Amino acid sequence: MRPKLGVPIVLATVVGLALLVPRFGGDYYVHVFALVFTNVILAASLRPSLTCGQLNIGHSAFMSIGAYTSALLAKNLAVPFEISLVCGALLAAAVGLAIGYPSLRLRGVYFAMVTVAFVEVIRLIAQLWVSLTRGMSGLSGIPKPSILGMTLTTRASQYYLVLGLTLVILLVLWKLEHSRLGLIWKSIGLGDNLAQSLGVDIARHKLLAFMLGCFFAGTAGAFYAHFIRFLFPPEFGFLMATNILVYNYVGGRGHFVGPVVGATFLSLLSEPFRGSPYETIFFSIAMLLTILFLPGGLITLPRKLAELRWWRTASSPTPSPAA
Amino acid sequence: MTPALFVQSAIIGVSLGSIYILMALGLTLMFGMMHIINFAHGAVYMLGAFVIYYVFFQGGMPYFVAFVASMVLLGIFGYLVERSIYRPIKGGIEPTLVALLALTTFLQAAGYPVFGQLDKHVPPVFPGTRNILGVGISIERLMIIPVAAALVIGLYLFINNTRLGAAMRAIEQDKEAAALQGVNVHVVNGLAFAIGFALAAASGALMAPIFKLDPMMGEQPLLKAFIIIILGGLGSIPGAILGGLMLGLIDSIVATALGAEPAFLLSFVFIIMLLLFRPTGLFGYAS
Amino acid sequence: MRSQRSRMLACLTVAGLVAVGPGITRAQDVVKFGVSTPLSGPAAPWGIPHKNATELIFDEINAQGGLDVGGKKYKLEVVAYDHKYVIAEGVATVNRLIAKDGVKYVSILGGAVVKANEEAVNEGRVLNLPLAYADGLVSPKNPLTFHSFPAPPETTSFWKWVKQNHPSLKRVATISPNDDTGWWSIKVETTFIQKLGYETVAKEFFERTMTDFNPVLLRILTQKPDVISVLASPAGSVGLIIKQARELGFKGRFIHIGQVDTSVVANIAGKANVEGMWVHGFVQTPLPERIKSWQTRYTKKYGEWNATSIDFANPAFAFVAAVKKAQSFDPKKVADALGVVEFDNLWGKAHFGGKDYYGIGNQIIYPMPFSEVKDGVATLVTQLLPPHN
Repeated sequence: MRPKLGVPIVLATVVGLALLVPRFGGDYYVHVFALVFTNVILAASLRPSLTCGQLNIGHSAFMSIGAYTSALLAKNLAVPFEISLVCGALLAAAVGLAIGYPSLRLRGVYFAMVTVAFVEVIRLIAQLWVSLTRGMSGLSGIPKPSILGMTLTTRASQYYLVLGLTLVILLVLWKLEHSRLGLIWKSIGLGDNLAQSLGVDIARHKLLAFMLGCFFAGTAGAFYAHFIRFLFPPEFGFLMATNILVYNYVGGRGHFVGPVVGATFLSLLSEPFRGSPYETIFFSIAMLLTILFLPGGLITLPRKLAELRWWRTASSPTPSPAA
Repeated sequence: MTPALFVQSAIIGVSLGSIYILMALGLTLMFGMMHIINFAHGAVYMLGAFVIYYVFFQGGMPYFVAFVASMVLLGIFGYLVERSIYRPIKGGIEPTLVALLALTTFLQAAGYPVFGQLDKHVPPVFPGTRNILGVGISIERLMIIPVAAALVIGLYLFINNTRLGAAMRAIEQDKEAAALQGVNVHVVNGLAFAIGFALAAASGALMAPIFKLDPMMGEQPLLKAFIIIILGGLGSIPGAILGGLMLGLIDSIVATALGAEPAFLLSFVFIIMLLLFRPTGLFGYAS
Repeated sequence: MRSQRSRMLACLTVAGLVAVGPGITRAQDVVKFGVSTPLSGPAAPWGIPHKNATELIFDEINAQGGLDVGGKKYKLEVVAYDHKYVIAEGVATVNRLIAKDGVKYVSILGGAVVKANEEAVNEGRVLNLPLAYADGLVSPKNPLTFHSFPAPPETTSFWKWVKQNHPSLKRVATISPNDDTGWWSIKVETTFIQKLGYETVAKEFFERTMTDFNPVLLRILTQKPDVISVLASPAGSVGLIIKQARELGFKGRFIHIGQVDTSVVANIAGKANVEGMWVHGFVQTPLPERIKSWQTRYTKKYGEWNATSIDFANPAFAFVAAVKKAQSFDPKKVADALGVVEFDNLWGKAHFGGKDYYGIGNQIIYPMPFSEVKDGVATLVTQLLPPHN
């Protein structure tokens, strides 16, 4: 592995670059990167639950709950953004508890199926409860985010808000993953029996991981609501849910930065193809190729490249005719 | 609801259920053997329908020929997917799932430039309506029922009366033991992919003359098939049959009585309740 | 195997690197017009003619040297992005048009996407010429938005014609998509026809993904309607609704006072089943010379003819006319000109009006064509102005 010194340097560079986006990117890239960070939060918050071996294909439902809760509180009751955001996140976590607790008995694919069904249920509720959510008219008139009574009117200020949120959430998740709790999650994921024999309360830890993910998905949803300022039920459907899962696998499951890399890469991938009707085609091909040729995800790319180079030099004594 | 309306919606429900069963059978078969959920099933349904469009409508071949072509072509496609996607991933459930999602997205997105932007159609094969118990039902919808039944019986006979079927059952029960007994797991998995895809293609091929064709047409049937296999128990073939019929009837009768959306919501709430209180479905067994 | 793998890795790396590029430098005499529309996915049959029609009109002007403003010729350029009918994409594309491409005039297609961009358009002080059915879009709070397509409040005119020419029809059932577009359309339509003395016997909404309409139709048919209105439903859904309603024994008429291509409908529903259907905005015969020529030019440039392009050419016609009138590219001045200019679109004389109904005169008004399907051909029966001018 890399020497320990490299990590802070890489980290500082990435954060430094992120801070500079509004200065050099202009409003459009500020917008794009704000959504990239929203996706990073969503992807990273799914990780604890995946680490415990729960295949959650329903994360967008919790994002939806956070988004609608925060938007409605702020719009109808003039609740300040900080409070509505936390309320959205808490409600998402509470619903996570209500769904997660009885689902604990379910293993693997059955759990996955509950979460898939749940996405559809939440979407339909948002769609049918017109008096509250305005259903398929879409919810508009959501106030811009504010901090301590100061409204963040510019895109750049909203960008710094989501950048801050992302960094804090990533730090929390990273700390947790490297704490005793993280070790327990990992042992649960490796096989329930092992963790059980160590005297760990599996059910409680699984539930905690699941709810934690729901809480942060709710946070991301709340930010999204006040950033895009228009909520439309189908946006939080099956496609968004699978995307969040896909970010984790394309980025790589083996390391904490996997979902961060996956979400960033896949969210930015569509930019060069914008305006082209082939955007989705390229997206899916990149996804398929990554899964097939980089089973460990994009985070294993440097190592693969190094291997490849080594392999090439080692096998090059006879020059190939094509060279 | 008048009795006539009830009868009419019940018959429609059974024909709808027959299609659902064909979709669900392939899914449940693949799940039973490999523990994977085939997310590409809807896209295969779509391709199955487009084979009918090109071979029957554009190509002028008889419908029966196009139907068989659809099943064979997509069966081969299923085998190739097993070779090129499932096998290299070495059975990892989650990466397989992501790969199948990617494949689905690709097939749907590529469908628009390849098949054209406008909705396609296939002329009816069995036009007209028939009067049953005083209510009119379209003949093409009635025809689904015997075709689906024939395919279900065929699959049942294959699994129970052939060597390959026996191998499939062996793998379903215990993969390692089957391999030790000399069963070629790869070949049998490929076969399961081929059969699963062929069944999805058959549903699409049956529906092509009844509904319209577009690259996203498989999404709704896929969701329905998910519900059915949860309802009937993952991996259970009798469960898929009963679940399919139940859902077809719910979809038709409840939607006629209360409207389409309450019916849809009801089936999902029902599923979540069932999973929470009887997680293995109505006919499933604990894994 | 080895080269295949490295090639793939190279592709991935390049794709990742080209994500951020520098802004495009702009030539002095080129004026950019933004189009945010669905170019892929299920809504592409609307978005593609939207982009194509705009491009065709601009190309023809450019071929003659450009648009003359203050004695100088300007070239017109379309900057089009695909929003796939997804809100987040719609907001991102409009943001990109305004913030990155520096566009001052946009045309956005799709009710929900236009609504989601309402504020961005107003705050950015850009001129918007949308094509959408959306409640509250034409409103004094959106002074720079000029709706360029006849919406249900306009096309309801046709019901007066139906009332006069087919007095025996009394009971109307409606079936439309379960979203803002559907709700608003049906609200407008039923309010109007109830005033005319029609009885609305059933009102059903469906999910856009629905293909089996039997349950919904069984509910409707128990009410014995004379006419079924399928307002706001896309052609594919209309085809399935008609096919299945006929199978269930419905003998009455269908009416769609939104725009729908009856040949697509007839392909799905069967030719005989569509006979007698009334539609707005789709005419196969007799075609005015202007439209015949448009069809030839469009087909020559793009290969595949799409009748939707006739009405979706409105934003470009309106924009060009207003710039000529204002002799300026300032969005505010162009907007002022739009309020007063009279111009030709493919159906006749057009202007923006409707102040009595909307409180602001920002709705396109022109003699809208209505047809009846006779022997499988959409035959023009009348051209009508909206109830409000």
